[in-house]
Amino acid sequence: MSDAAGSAVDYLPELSTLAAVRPLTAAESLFHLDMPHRALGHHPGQFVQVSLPGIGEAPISIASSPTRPAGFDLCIRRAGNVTEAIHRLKPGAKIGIRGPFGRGVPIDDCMGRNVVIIAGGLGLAPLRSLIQYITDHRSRFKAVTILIGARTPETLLFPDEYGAWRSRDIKVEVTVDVSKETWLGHVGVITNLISRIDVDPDTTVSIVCGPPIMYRFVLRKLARRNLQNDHIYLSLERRMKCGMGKCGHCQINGLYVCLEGPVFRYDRIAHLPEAL
Amino acid sequence: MRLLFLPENHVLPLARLLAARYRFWGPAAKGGAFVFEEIADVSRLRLDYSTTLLPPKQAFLPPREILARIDIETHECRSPARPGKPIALFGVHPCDLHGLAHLDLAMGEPPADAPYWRARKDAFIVGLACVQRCMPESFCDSVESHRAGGPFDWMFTPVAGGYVVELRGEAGEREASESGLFEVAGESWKKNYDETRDRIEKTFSGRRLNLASLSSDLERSFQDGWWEKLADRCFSCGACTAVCPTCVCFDVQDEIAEGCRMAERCRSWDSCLIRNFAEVAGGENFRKLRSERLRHRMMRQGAYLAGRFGLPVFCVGCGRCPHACLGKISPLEAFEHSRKFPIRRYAQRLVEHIKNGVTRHE
Repeated sequence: MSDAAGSAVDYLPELSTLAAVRPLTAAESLFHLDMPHRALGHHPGQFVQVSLPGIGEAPISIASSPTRPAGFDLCIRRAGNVTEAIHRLKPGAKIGIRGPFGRGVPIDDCMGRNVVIIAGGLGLAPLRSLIQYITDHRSRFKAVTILIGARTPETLLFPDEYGAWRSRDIKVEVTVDVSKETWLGHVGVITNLISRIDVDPDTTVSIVCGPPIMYRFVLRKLARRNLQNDHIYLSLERRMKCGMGKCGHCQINGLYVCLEGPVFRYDRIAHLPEAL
Repeated sequence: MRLLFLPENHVLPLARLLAARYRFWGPAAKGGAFVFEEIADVSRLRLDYSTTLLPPKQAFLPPREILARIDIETHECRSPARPGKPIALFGVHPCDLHGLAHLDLAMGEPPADAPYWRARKDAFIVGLACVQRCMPESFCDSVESHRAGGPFDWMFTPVAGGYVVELRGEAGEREASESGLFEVAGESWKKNYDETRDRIEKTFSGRRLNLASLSSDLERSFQDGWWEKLADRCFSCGACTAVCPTCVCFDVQDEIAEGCRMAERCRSWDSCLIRNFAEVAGGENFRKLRSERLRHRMMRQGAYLAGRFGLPVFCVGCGRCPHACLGKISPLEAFEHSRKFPIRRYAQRLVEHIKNGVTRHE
C-alpha cells in the first residue's frame, strides 16, 4: 500500500507551446508542439492526453518520430469540443500535455524484417511516427511498404511527404474509395493493395491502423497472404479519459487499451470478442 | 493476532478520541436508511446498522473530485491541497472491507492514482463483523466476503457486553494503547468470541457459487443470447455502479471556476452501463447494445478484474446493486447462470440469433 502511495501519479498536464500549424485536409491539421522543459520521450504508436483549461482533455496519438529533434507533431481531426478548440488556436498558444501513454510499436520486432504498414484514413497519423523512425534508421529494416487508403484524394493525409518516403527506398501505394477523373492512382478499398505486394510470411511484419471496419477485411487478406497472427500489429482506438488504466472507458474485454495498447500483437487479442 | 476487549460503554469515548485526530466517518441513520458519512457528532454513530445506501468508497473516491486546478491565462496548474487530517472509517462491514481491498488494487496498479492515495494513505480503518444478514439480496457468503479481511487496523466482533477487537499493524497497536480504553481479553471473552465466529459461519453458509470456475464460466458464456434477455430488465441507469463498493470507473470534465479565471478538471463517477461510455469522438460506440454493457459489468466483477489481480472474484456480494436496480438484476444471477449455461444451447441460440436477426435494444 505504501508503495502505491509513494509512486502515485497525478493528473496534472504539463505545458507545451504550439509552434506551428499546417492544415492538411478540410478536417485535419498538423500541430507541432514544443515542450520547453523536456523531450516527450515517446515510442512510435504511443499517445498523449491533450488539454485546454476549461474545455477538457482528449487522447491524441503522436504523429512524429522520437528521432526528430525539438518537439512533436499531433495530427488532429475536428471531432469534438477539445479538438475543435485546438483547431482555433494560433502558434504561440499553450496546450496541456499528459503522457506519453501506452505501448507503441515494438521496433525491435520490426528491425531486420520486411515491414508492411497499412493505414486507413486517420490511421496514417500514428503510423507516420513509425514511418519517420524507419526513414531515419532505414538500414535497420529490410523492404518497407506503406499501403495508404482514404475516402477521396482530398482526404489523403501527408501526400506531400510520400516523395520523401519513396526516396528512402520505401514503396508507397495509395488508393482512394471515390475519385474524380483527375486522380491517376488506384481506386478501391485498401485490401486490393495487399494483393499487389510481395509478402514473405517468414520475414514480414505488418502494422495496421485504420477505422474499426477496416481491420477484419485487412486481417482476412493478410491471412490469405499467409502472414501469421504473431507477425501482425494492430493499433486500436478506444475512448480514454485517464491514460492510467483506471477510468475504465478504453477496456477491450479485460484489457486496458491505454496500458496494454493501443498497439497490440494480433495473436494476443484475436480471442477477445470485443477487440475487432 | 492480538485480541483486546472493548466494553460497550467505551465505544463512544473511543470514537471521540479518533474524531479528534481523524476526519471521522461512520454509519449513521438518515431518512429511514443508513449512510456512511463524515460524522461531527459521534453519538450519531450506529454500529447496529444493517447496510448503508452507498459503500464507504466515497471517502477515498468521492462522487466528484477536482484532479487539477488550472489557471486559464497562464496554464499554471496544481493538484488540490491535501486535506488536513486523514480519515478514520469506523464500523466497516466485511463486504466493504473487501471492497476497499479491491479498490486499493484497482487504484494501486501502476501508475497508481495519486488523488485516491492522498486520501487513502494514512486512513485508519475499523472493521465490524456482521452477525446477521443485512438484506435478502446480499450474497457475501457466495463470494466469501462475509469474514474479516481487507485493510483493517481494528476488527470489532460483537460479544456480550462489548466487542472483541483484533489489532493489526503498527497504527492499530498505537491507537489502542494510546486510547487506554481497551481491556485484556480474558478467557470468557475469547470463548464468547469463538462462539460468535461460529455463529457467523452458520449464518453465512448459503454458498451458491463455484469460485474456482467462475471466471472461465463467465468467459465461456460471453456469446450467450441470455445476456440480451437479462438486459430486457436493465434501464442503463447506472445505479448498480454508483452503489458498488468496487466500481471505480470515472469521467473527467473541465469546469470553470473563480469568475472564469480558473478551470477545475473534475472527475466524477461514471458507469459502463451508460450508453455513450465506450463511444469515441468519431461516433463509433464499442458497446452500443444494452446487453453488451450489462455483460461488461458482470464480466468486470466476475472475470476481468478478478483475473487481473489474481482474485477468484472482484464482486463482494454486498447486494447493493440488485437492491438499487429497478429490474432487480443481481450479479449472483449472472454468475450462476454462466455456470449452468451449456455449450450446446449456446451454439443453437447463436444460429437462431443470426438467422432471425433478433431485435436489439440500444
